[in-house]
Amino acid sequence: MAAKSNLSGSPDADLSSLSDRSLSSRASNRSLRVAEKERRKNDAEDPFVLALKYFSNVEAGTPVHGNDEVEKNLVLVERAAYSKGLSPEAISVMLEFAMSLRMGSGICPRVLKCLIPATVVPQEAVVRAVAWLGVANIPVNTQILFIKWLLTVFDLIDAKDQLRAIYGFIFNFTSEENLCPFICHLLYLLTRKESVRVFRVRKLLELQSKLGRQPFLLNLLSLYKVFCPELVTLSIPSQLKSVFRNHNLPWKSALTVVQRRNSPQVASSLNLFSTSKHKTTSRKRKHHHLGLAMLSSAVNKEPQTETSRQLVPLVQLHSVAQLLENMHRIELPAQMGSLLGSSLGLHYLDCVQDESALLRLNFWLGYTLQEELLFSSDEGSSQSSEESMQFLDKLLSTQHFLQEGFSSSEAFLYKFLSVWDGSVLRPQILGLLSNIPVVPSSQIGQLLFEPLMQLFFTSSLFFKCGLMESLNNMLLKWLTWHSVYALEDDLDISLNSHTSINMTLSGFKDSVMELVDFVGRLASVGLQLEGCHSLLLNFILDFYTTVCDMFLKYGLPLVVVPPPGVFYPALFATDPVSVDRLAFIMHRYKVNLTSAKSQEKLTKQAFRISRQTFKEFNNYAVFMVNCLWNAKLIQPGMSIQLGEELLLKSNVPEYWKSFDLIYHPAFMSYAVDFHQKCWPGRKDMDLDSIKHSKPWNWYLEYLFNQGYDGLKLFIQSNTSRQLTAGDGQGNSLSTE
Amino acid sequence: MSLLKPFSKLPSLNTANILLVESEEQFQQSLADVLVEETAFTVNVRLAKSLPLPKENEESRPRIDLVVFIINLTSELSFQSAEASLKYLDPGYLLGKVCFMVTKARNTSVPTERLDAVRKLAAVLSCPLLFAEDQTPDGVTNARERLLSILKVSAGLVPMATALYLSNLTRCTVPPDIDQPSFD
Amino acid sequence: MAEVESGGAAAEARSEAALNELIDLCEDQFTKLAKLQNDIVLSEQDSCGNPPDHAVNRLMATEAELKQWLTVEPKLLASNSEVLLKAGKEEMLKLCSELEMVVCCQEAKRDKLRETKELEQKWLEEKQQALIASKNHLERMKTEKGEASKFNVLLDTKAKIQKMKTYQESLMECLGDVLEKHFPLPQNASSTNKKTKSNAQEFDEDMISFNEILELLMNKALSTPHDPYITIENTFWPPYIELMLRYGIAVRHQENNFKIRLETFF
Repeated sequence: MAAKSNLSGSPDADLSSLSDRSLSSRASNRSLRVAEKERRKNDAEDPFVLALKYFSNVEAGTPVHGNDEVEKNLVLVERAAYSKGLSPEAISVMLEFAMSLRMGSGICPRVLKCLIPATVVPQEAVVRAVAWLGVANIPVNTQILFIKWLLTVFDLIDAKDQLRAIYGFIFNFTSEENLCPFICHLLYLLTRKESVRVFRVRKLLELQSKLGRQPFLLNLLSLYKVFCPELVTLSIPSQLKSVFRNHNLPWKSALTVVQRRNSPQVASSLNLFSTSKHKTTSRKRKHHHLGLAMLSSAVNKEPQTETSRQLVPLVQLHSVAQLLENMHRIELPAQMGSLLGSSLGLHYLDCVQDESALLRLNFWLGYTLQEELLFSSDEGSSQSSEESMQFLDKLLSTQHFLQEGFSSSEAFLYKFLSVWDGSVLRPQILGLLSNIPVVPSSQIGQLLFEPLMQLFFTSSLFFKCGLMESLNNMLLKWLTWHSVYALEDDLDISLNSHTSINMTLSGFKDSVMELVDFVGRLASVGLQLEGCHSLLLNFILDFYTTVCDMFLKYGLPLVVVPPPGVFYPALFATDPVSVDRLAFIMHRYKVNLTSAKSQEKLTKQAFRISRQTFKEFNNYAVFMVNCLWNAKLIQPGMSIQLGEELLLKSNVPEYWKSFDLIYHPAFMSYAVDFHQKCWPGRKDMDLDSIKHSKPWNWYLEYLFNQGYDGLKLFIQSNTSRQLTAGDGQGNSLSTE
Repeated sequence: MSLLKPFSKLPSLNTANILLVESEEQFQQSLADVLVEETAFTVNVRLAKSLPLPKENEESRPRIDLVVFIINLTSELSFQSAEASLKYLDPGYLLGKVCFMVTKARNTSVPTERLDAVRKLAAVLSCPLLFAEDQTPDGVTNARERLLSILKVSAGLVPMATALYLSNLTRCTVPPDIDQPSFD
Repeated sequence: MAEVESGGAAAEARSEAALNELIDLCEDQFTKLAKLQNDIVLSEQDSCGNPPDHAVNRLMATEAELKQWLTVEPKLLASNSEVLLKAGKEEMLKLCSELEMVVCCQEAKRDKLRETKELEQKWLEEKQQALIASKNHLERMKTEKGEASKFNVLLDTKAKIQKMKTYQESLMECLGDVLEKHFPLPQNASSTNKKTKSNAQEFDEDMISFNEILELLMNKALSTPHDPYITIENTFWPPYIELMLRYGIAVRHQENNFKIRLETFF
């Protein structure tokens, strides 16, 4: 076997390391085995032990039919397996029994189905079973079942070195058409840089031309490409739409049950390992039910050092200092998920920008998210949702740290949104939402807007606010990416250094435009439905505070003004804070537009911001100045029109003054207060007296001192302040 | 055949009436219990296994402002029953006074075709399709909130909004490639 | 309908005039409502014959509604000042509670930002450390590179070569053992067992062992890498050729069917 593997396998250091490893693992296993034997002496009478003995000793060719003994013993094993799982030894015995077809192939699937490990799966047993796969005459379905089992328990296999050593052997099974998808998945998990060889690439390409562009082949090839881009010239879609198919694995639920039941024992067995390492374990245990991270991290304790390359496994490091020392020779854990829980692991990812590590992490994440979160409501227990929450929090903090999203979490999010009730895991889902990288404008509607719109309009005020905030954060992240990655002179920007999504500037602008327009629609109708609720308005104005500064703060030559459904409710709001914030936003729009204009003159480039935008802005600005400063509510040609006779009928005296800085409902209380302070002796209040030039300036001073800086900036930049009220003219930006 | 009509009766003051149709009668009771807790206005909840509604109660039945079909995705029967009941609904209801509420959508045993079929049905009728987590108290409360927000509009309790207006914003749409979702 | 509600909500005005005005308003609305209801019932009786297609129906309804919204004129609230005062007060109270929510939200946001800031500061520090460490590492590598003498490199390389040689030998031995055990030369007995036909056709007494074929292939690949092909001789047992080709050990020449080479495993 070993020789065979070396014939097709890579003739590098694998063998030497293999012999080292097996020696050491044998030594460490010996003490365990001694303990095991002692225990076994005690329960020699245990029927389960006897059953195992039966299966390890049964002679080849013993008939199954009408054989009560087999039935009895198998039931015993099954019962033990489903209640507390099988020990590593039992796994070995049963696997050997099944794969050697000692009693024919009929009983094989049944045995495979009950192979639920209580702790770990011994690597040797797996290697032997793989050997049987090549030798014995096992029916294809059973072969597939075995590989599926292997995929399910992959993280529980106590070491992977020997499995990696027979990589070439396993690779050969790709020629079996039925096995190929599963073998590819297995290879994906085993592949390292040295496994990638020209002849394997060629073989995979051959298979691809035979079977078509199958996702399993593409996935494996994409991993190969990451390791050795020079060997795989094939162009692979930048975002593979599918990970390996989620086989509805028969062992999964049984495994979870057994693991949950055993978790205290497993934890105590971990104490066998040195205590200093226990710290890492406890950190990683936090999300162990999601995926299988805990057990495999326990397994990672076994030093995986390879003498030839002197790699240091990440789990052996305990401080940033240690990490920094060994930065150049880190061995990543077999279970990529454990990286999420380890701050050192994240630092490593961040510094080294190891694309294969990210790819593996991404792969693992996609699998786990789909398996554990999307379809996890079978139980609906609070425990599992608690775990989901912690897991997603961890994921969010990882994304926050690495400052980028994972494509798998993105794909997960789109799926989740389409079946989301809007409440379960809300903070986490909204967090993921704000982390997704720029979505091409052609897809953004279907992937995001459709589900979000339905959720937005059928959910509570608080959901609406939450979504607004999340979309604002999303825009902020997009803009930040743009400002960091945009090349100065070129249109091309690389938005994300790892997933290599390239987007042209105009593509990016389109996406941003779509997003801003979408939020504009949500905001207008949302305000209408919620009766212009101040809280919602507050979140909407947050969003426009980001939007108005896109040009100056983030260098994006794009200005989008708010829709009337946002502008007018904010201007006529009954609270001064909203009006002040609107004033600030309008001020920033003006600064941005002015600067865009002057820059355009300077560089003599084509007009990049449309005249329409200038016109819309000017209309708003003029209206606002007229309302607040000039006390003119209606002018011809404005976008809102009110019937004059209706206003007259309302009996409001001098209705045109109703929204100036004195009579505006948001500021009236200030005017009254100012009046009292200014003329304490006066009995009858005449707010109009504030309009005289001196008190008017004092009044403005007084208003600005209340902290209304937005108003101050707006008035300073849009009016000439020396003038008394009524004379001030709104200076609008000219569009020419 | 007696159709349920949206405008056959006069509305009463500060009241909204909702009809929950669920063939399995699992979720509707717990949902009804939380729906009636609303204090800002009176919520009357009527429960039914399927349509048509029995003739004898017709006199005492108030005007129904919103019909909710609750579909348990793990059961084909649940979907079929809702589909059959739709026939006994006046077309006027389809202008914003019907919505579908789906439970157990995240269950592994749900065939994707069934979810697609429900989506398609809701899309053809231009009705909103809400998902609910009926197993947890939070999920039930949230389902209540969302139904109330639609009910308020369809009962005319929100100024400047009508049922048709809201349903044009929230109606379910079928993605063009529903058979081959781009993210498998 | 909406007017009925808002009118009703403000109905606590004490003054009788105000109350009367409101009641009048409500009654107006209700009469209108009853009339509309009547109209609906009447029109339903008319049109029950041909229910139009759902989508068309919806489109028509939406268009009608749109027209309605476009023509609708804003209306004044009740003219009684007492009613207006009451309504204004309610509006203010509502605003107050809304603003309280805003304050809560802003405070929560502020706390969150503070937390984020602390976290990011910690990260920044760690990242700066990492930067310094990698710079130091680079520096160290540079000096090490300068110090490494030619002699040391030579010794190192020699040791490595030696190691590889031993390793290769063990591999070769292993390979030999396996081949000897599992790939014997075709014996008369075995071949008659398997295929009498091929036996009858061309059985050559000068067959060379599988081991030798492999050796030929390997030597050729190493000695003339530009032309690694060997011609298939009669002394090669055809099933072994087939085996090598099938399991990807050897590759046929693209143009010449009688030539094979070793798969490029390196």
